[in-house]
Amino acid sequence: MLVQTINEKRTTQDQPQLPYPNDALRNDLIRVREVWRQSQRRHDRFSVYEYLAAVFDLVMVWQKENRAVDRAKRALRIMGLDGGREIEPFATIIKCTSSRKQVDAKARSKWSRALMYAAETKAPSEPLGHFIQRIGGINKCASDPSRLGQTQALLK
Amino acid sequence: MSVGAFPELPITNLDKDAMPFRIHKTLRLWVEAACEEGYLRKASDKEIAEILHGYELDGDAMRSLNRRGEVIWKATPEFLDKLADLEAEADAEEAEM
Repeated sequence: MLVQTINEKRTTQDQPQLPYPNDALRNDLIRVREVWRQSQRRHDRFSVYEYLAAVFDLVMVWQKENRAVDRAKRALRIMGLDGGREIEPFATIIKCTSSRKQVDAKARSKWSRALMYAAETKAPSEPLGHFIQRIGGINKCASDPSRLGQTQALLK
Repeated sequence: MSVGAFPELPITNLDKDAMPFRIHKTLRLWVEAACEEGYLRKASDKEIAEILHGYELDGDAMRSLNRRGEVIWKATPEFLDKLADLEAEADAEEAEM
């Protein structure tokens, strides 16, 4: 119930929406890509959290403005990429801003599932990195701990 | 209004109690400066929207979410770096004098 309330608040329109032209979108993608580059220069295991946080923040703003899928489609067009028929904003931004050699489709899917889980359950005040660590890592977030808990309960 | 380590204030529009845009402190100073530069002492929401829009297109402002999950406007990391460089230059000049 609490989670539902948080997410309802997240999608409430509460200030006038300004246009978001392609130049602004491109600036945001460049910014997230720079965070990716910085995370690659660092070699600790948590540096990827900063990159995922940048992806998460961008998509959550888009979602708050009820334009996540539209803008993800535009991001693909700007980058000259094909996103397939079903556009998932987190996976799209990861595709647009990270190296495809280092982040294959499987990793992209795992990261985007983790971010979707965070979007559903994380309180806005909690930093993403802290949330992921609290849940037990990216793999745990990606495997949807609530469903895992239900399965484990059924097995007992 | 200050929210933890992430202070933000509605920009002051002299005729109104609150503006519809939530703007982080650093960026707010620049928006206010732009209003004064344009002699917009009673800047309307539309004029402030145009200023924000311009900053966003220049890569100096970005949309973000605050700790309550509300959309806010803040200075980009690049803009903050630029400001820090300018401040360092000014300090160096002052030290030379």
